[in-house]
Amino acid sequence: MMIHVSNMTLTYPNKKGVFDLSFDVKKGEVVGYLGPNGSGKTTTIRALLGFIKANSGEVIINGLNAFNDASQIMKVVGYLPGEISFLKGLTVKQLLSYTLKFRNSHESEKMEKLLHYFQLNVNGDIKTLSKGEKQKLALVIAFMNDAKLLILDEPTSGLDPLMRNKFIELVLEEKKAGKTIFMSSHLFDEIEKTCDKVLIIKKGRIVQESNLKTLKSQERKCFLIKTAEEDKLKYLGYPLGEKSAFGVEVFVYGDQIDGFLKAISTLKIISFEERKQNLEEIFLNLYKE
Amino acid sequence: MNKTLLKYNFKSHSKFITIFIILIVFYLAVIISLIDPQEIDNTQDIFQLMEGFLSFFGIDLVAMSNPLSYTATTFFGGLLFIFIIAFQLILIIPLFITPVQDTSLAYLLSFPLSRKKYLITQISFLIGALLLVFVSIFTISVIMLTIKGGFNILALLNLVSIMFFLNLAVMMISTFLAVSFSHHKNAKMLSSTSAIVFLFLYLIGNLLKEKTKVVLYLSPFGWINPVSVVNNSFNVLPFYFIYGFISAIFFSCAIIVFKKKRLAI
Repeated sequence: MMIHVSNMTLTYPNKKGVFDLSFDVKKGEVVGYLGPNGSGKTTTIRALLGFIKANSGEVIINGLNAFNDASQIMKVVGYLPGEISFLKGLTVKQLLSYTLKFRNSHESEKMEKLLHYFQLNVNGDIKTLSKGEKQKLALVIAFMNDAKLLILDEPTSGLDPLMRNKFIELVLEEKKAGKTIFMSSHLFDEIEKTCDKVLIIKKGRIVQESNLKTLKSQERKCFLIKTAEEDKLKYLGYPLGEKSAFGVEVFVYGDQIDGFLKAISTLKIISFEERKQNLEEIFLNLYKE
Repeated sequence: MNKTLLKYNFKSHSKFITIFIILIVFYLAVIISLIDPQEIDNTQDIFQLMEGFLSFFGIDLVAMSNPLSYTATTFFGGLLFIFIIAFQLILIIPLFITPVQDTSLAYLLSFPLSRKKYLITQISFLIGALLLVFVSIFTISVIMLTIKGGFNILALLNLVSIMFFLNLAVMMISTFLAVSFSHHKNAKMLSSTSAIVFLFLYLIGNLLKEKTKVVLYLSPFGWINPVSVVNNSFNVLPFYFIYGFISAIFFSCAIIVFKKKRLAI
């Protein structure tokens, strides 16, 4: 097991935090960590990296205690913080040189490859870089040491669509090479394309842990129904969505379809259409619940 | 200690340290150049005009009997303390507060660098920078006082050394406060409180009459009289241990606090 979190609770003085979290990430697994803003994603990552000690519970990374053995753990971890901030007064080239020295590494081949891959100019001053360029630099730093475990907090924040696709390709390549990746994200597309498993956190508690196949099978069907008896539609007891000139959206879970079809057969239907619900809508639905 | 981090610190603060040393060395050179050993009375007369102001900084006109004691009373008092407090605070902020507040500490701690090693490196740099300042002060004092005539170099060395230890102790207290409150929005103010309070007590203590002069001794700055040190009329040895002990205690406390600190970075 690469990451083992058991009954971890970490609270801040304002009573916010994460509560009784338990999850595992196996070696070679790519796990997406999703949740709305302020749900506890970054707090969990801080605990994984040993920046904050949990009030209770256990956080084990690669067999070591996340807080007590943080510096040992960092030998096998590549980390991309949610808020990018580097050493001050350096050029990109100097920062990368320091990064190699901090890692006691002379191996710059992968670094060069990543710089080329993300088309990053190393001659500029860091303070002159745009948000997207800083993000690319942080990605290079996270991936350059060929770490066994990559912990990425919002890895594509500030990247343009082209670079996001490049990032997805990179993650898939690293996944093929057997790396374990734990990443928080808001972008469903990258989660859908890269992750084996998804953890959804809401108000500091994990509300869903499942692989993507299971999650997709849980999707609700959405039907767009136009009827002359809209009032009656309300009383059928199914959640309703947006109303438009084309009809009203009605959401139905897979095991309720038979009952739903029987129920609407009593209504005068003008048009009936099934709308495919994408993963993003599934997540948004989970956030809302 | 992490050599790469130490190297980075020296590189990024070298400009400030150099300018500061030039400034303090120039100031010291000007102070010493004002005295003529043949006409000490004239120098005392000049200073007499602003006696009240000078006593505020702990400058004692009666003590100006020779160039060394003149240097001790005019430079190694309140003015030096003000310089060093400014120096330490300007360095303490980027070393201990900014990395937590702008989260750049996350970049450093994502390497195999323990918190203890990180803090020892930062404090070592700070001590190294202070040592550079005092070595420069000693060097320029030796040069200028040699030009002015004979003086006891060991007495000067003793004075500069004890002043280094005194300022080190005050700096370690500020470091401890900076580490403890680095996450706080008023961290800069909180970390400078102790040094400024000590300085204030020292300056006020110098103005007060004998009966209430106890205020002076509430500040570590007031425990040493520079003129007594160079005149060998004061046993300074215990104060090396006292200031050394204070430094060690606050150094250790800073490490203990930082090792356990919740870093929201």
